[in-house]
Amino acid sequence: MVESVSWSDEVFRVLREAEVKQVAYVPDAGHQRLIKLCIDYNEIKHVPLTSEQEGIALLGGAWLGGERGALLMQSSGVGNVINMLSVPNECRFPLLMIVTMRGEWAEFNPWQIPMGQAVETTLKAMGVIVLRAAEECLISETVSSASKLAFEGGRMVAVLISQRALGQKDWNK
Amino acid sequence: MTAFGVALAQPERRVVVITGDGELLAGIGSLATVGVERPRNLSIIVLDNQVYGATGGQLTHTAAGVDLVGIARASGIVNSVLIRDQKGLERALPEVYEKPGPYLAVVKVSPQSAPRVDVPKDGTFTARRFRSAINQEIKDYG
Repeated sequence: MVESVSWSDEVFRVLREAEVKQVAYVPDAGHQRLIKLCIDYNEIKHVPLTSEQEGIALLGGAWLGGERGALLMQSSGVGNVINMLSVPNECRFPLLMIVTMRGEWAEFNPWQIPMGQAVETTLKAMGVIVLRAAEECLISETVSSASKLAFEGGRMVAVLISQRALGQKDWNK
Repeated sequence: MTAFGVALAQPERRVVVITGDGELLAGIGSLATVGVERPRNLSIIVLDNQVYGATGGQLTHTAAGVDLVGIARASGIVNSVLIRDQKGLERALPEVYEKPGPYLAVVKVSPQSAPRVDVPKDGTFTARRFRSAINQEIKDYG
């Protein structure tokens, strides 16, 4: 995961500057370094989930309690949150999701493709603002922009980190 | 899970969530997630009527014997109790606030519907009312 060190560190800095205090995640290879940075940092509470939908509810609670949070997941997890997005939609909870994409650029695993291709459409259908970072150099500024839209604009926002930006890796390693 | 987020954000307060058997069964993995973090200030009360009351009274899994207290204990929520009658409820109520969390009480209740109470349906209103009630200093989205 040496390739992802730089963007992960930059995004970690953006999350700290945005005063994010709760980070929920389902373990994911693309987010491996960012998850580790959050775990090693005492001022962020990190919550591993059994399913991504738990993260939507958790972060709603974080906001009710006066804290900001972020949800880290892979594109395959987006399918698990669709119904739960009704809650931040109806309650106008701010929501920041950072999604590492599969099923698009040079995907070798056919099982990743259906959800990967449906991510943007389904998120938009539930009222989520979708920002895409197609290149590595755009990831941290896209997350920064998304955090303002979420926490100051009071909206549900997802950053999709393109599979191209993550690099064509052998994910089996 | 929403109450868990509140409990993490407000560690000095006891957070109590009241839910139902159908709702908990639909998000049963959340017990395992709570069992990992084990927040000391979270109490979960499950009103278990063993039916889906809103949809015509179809049986939930607890009617067939699925044991929510057992699942909670096995998930690491050690202080989990089953309450079957009024006496048990009176004994357990102080524990909701005094026992170290995470605490879970499954309260077996009648499947009969209580009289309907009109509550505001507007999520933005109820969420902001709750948020400003427990965070006096918060005035905006911040």
